[in-house]
Amino acid sequence: MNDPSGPDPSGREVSGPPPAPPAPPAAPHAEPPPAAGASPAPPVPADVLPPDGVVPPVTPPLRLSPKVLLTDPIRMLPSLFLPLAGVLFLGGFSPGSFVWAALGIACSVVYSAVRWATFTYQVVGDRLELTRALVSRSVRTIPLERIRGVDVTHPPLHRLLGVAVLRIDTGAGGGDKQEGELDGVTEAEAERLRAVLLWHARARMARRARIARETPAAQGPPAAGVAGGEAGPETGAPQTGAPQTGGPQTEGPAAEGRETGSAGAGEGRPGGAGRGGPWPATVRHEVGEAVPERVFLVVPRRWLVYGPLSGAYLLTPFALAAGAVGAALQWGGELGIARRAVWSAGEWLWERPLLLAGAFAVLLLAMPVVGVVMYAVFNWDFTLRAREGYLVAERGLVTRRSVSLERRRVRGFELVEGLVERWTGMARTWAIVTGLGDSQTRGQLLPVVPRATALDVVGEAVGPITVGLRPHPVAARRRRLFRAVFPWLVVAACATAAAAAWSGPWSGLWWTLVAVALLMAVLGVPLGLDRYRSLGHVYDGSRVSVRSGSLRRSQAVVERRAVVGWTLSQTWFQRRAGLLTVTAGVGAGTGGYAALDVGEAEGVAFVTEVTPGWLAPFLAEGASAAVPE
Amino acid sequence: MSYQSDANRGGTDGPGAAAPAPAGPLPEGVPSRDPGPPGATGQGARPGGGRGRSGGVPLRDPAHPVSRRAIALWLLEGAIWSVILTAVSYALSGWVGGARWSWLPGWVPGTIAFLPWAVGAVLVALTVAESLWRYATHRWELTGDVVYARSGWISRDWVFVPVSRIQTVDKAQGWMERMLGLATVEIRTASHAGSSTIKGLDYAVAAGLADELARRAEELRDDAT
Repeated sequence: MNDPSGPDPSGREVSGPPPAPPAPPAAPHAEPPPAAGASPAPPVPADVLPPDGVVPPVTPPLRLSPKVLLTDPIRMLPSLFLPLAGVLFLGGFSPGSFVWAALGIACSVVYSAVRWATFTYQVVGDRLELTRALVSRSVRTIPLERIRGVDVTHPPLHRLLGVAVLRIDTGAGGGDKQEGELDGVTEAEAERLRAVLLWHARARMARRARIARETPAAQGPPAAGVAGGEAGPETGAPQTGAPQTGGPQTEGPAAEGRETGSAGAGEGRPGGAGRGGPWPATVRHEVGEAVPERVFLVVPRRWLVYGPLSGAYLLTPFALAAGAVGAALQWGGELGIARRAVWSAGEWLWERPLLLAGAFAVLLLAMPVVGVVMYAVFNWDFTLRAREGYLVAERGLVTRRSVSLERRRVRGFELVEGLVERWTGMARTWAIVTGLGDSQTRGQLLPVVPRATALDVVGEAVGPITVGLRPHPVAARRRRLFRAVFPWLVVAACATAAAAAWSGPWSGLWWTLVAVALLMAVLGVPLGLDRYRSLGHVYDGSRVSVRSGSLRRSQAVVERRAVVGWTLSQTWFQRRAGLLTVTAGVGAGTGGYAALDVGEAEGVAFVTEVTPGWLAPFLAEGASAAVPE
Repeated sequence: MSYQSDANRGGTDGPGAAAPAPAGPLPEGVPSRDPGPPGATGQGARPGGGRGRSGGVPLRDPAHPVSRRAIALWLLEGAIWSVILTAVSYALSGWVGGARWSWLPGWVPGTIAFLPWAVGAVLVALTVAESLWRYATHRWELTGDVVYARSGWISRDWVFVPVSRIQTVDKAQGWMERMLGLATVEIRTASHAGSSTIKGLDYAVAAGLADELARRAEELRDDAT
C-alpha cells in the first residue's frame, strides 16, 4: 500500500486499536459474504480522531473488489478471442500453440491483477483521489463538491458476482477527463460510496446556502440516534465499520437508515452515529431534512409494447442481418470458409427473388417484435423516484442502470413526441440539467408513456408544462413549406435533366428518382404545414418554452434563471421574410433552445419579456416609439 | 469603454424580478426611452423604414465598430481561400479537360479552361464584398453589464451576454491578427448559444474589454448556470 498512515484496507486485520473489538471476519451480517473483500474500511484508530473535533473525514485508501480479477479477463476475452483462435489455427492445435494461448490468458489475468493491486481510491478531506501507481503514480483528484451525480450500473457479469460499476459525474464539460469510474466495487461499497459522495455534495451545498444551524423538527436527532443504535446491534456491535458498509442495507431502503449510514460514513467516523452524542444531530441538519424516498412512477410492464412507437430499435432486425452478412464475409475466411462460397450463396439467394422477398418480409414482421424486446431489455421496470434531493431513474433488465440527477440542478424538461407517438398519445421526457454530460442517455426522465402520465409525473418531479404557445407569423409557414418541398423539387429537376441528357439504359433509374422526389415533395406539403403548426414559444412569468419539429416534435420548458444569454440570428431568406430565430442560451441540456422563425419585432419583444433588463439599452428608437400606437 | 454599473442588474436576478425594464441612468448616446411593458413591443408591426437599421429588427446598432484593420484581416483570409479554391479548380479543369469522358457534353472540354478564371474572379469579388460588408455589420458594445455584439454578413447574429453569466473571457490572436495588431475576444458562458466571439478588435481595445469583462464578471458573478 502506498499510504503509510492508513492500515491495509484489503485485509480485515485492523492495525490500529479500534474503539471496539475488531470485527470478526465473518460478521453476522445481512450482506452476502463476498462483500468482505473491499467494502469495510477498517476503522481509523481512535486516537487520530478527537471525539468532538471537526476532523476532515479520512478513509484509508481502498481497492476495488478482488472480483474484478474475474470480470476483467472475462471482459477481455472477446478481444483476445481472435488472436487466440488465430494462434490455435495457425499452430494447428499443437501443444506449443496451446501454451501460447494459455500464456495469453495468463497475461490478461496478471494484467488485471496488477491493475487491481495498483489502483486505489480514497476520500481525503473534501476530495476523492483515484490513484494508479504502476510505474509512475498518477492521482486523479475529484473535488467532492464538484460531484453532481453518481451512477451505479450492474452489467450482467458484475451482477452475477454482486459487484457494480460506479461512475462519478462531475459535470466536466470537456470530455471525461475529470470523470471518475470505479469498475468493480461490491454492491454494498457502491451504495456506501454513493451515499458518501452525494452526502458531501449535499453538505457543501447546505453549508454554502447557510441553512440555519438548528434542525427545526425535533425528530431529527433522536431518529438518527435510534437508527444508528439499531444499526450497531443488528450488524454486530463490534463491527465498527458497520455504518460505513452494511448500515443502509440492513436498514432496508428507508431513507432514514440511509441518511444515518451515509452521515456516519461521510465523516469517516467509525460508529459515529452511535458514539458521538451531538455528532449525528449536526450531521443531520447539515444534510438537510430527510425527505422520505418517493416513487413517482414505475412504468408498468404492459407499457413496454409502446416502445417501438418512438421508432427506437425498429431497425434492429436489419442491423442484425447486415451484421451477420458482414461477419460471414469477414470471418468466413478466417474460419476456413472460402469467400467464394459466401458469394455463391449470395448469388444463389439473389436468383430466387421470392425467397429474398420472404426473408425481407420476415425481417419486416420482426421489426416490432424485436423492437419491443430490445426496448424492454433496456427499459425494464423504468422507475423514477426522488431520493434525498436527487431524481433517480433506474432501468434495464440485463444491465440495471441507475442515474441520479441532482434536483437542484434540474432546470426544466423536454417533452419529445414522434409522429406515431402523437397519433397514439405517447411521449418521452428528458430532464434539462446543468452540467450533465451525455444528457441524451442520462437525462431521460421517462421512456415512452402516455402523454397524460408523462405530464403528471413531470409536473410533480420537475414542474408543469406551459400551455398557450404563441403561434408564429404566416411567413413562417411559407418558410416551413418551402423548406419541406423545394429541395425535393430541385432533386426532381436535376434528375429530369439527367434523364433527358443521358437517354441510355439508365434513364429508367433517373425517372424513378424523379418520381420519388416528386412524391417526397408532395408529402412535404403536409409535413411543412405540420412543422408550422408545431412552432410556438411562450413565457409564463418564470419559464421559457419553445416547441418545434414534426417527425420529432419537441417542446422544451426551461426556467428563466437558466438563461445565460441570447442569440438572435437571421439568414438572408429570413430577412426577406421579416423573421428571425431566437435562441435562448441555457447552460444545460443541449445548450440552446430556439424559437424558429419568429417575427422580427415579436422576437425582440420575447427576449425583452423574459429578461427585461438585458435588451433595454439596445432597442431601436423606432421600435419603442412604435409601441404605444 | 463604458459600462453601466448596476442599472439593469435587477432584471438578471431571480424569477421574481420580471418587472418592466428598470430605466436607470443610461449612458449618453443610448435612447433613454422606456422600452415599454414587456410584450407590448410585439404588438407593433415591423417598424416602417427599419431597413436602414438592422434590416427591420428593432434593435439599434451596437456602438463600436471593430478596427478598420479587420477589413485587411478578412481580405487576407478571403485571399487565402481564393487562392486555394482557384488552384483546386485549375487542377480540376486540367483533369477534366484531359480526360475526354464520353458522357460529358461536347462543349465542356473546350471551355473548362475558363473555370479557374471564373472561380478566381467570383471569389475575389466575394472577398471584397464580404470584407466591407462584415466591417459594416460587425459591431459591439458593453452597456448595462450586457455585451451586445453583432456579426455575420449574408446572415446575421445578434448576441446578448450579461456579464453576470460570463464564465471565461479569452483574448486570442492568430498569426494574421498578430501581424495586423488585432485580437479576438471570446466570451463564454455555460452555453454555446450564450457565448460571443468578437473578432477583429484593435489589440488595445480587446485587452481593455477582456480585462473589464473579467473584472466585472468577478464582481457580478451569480452562480446561474
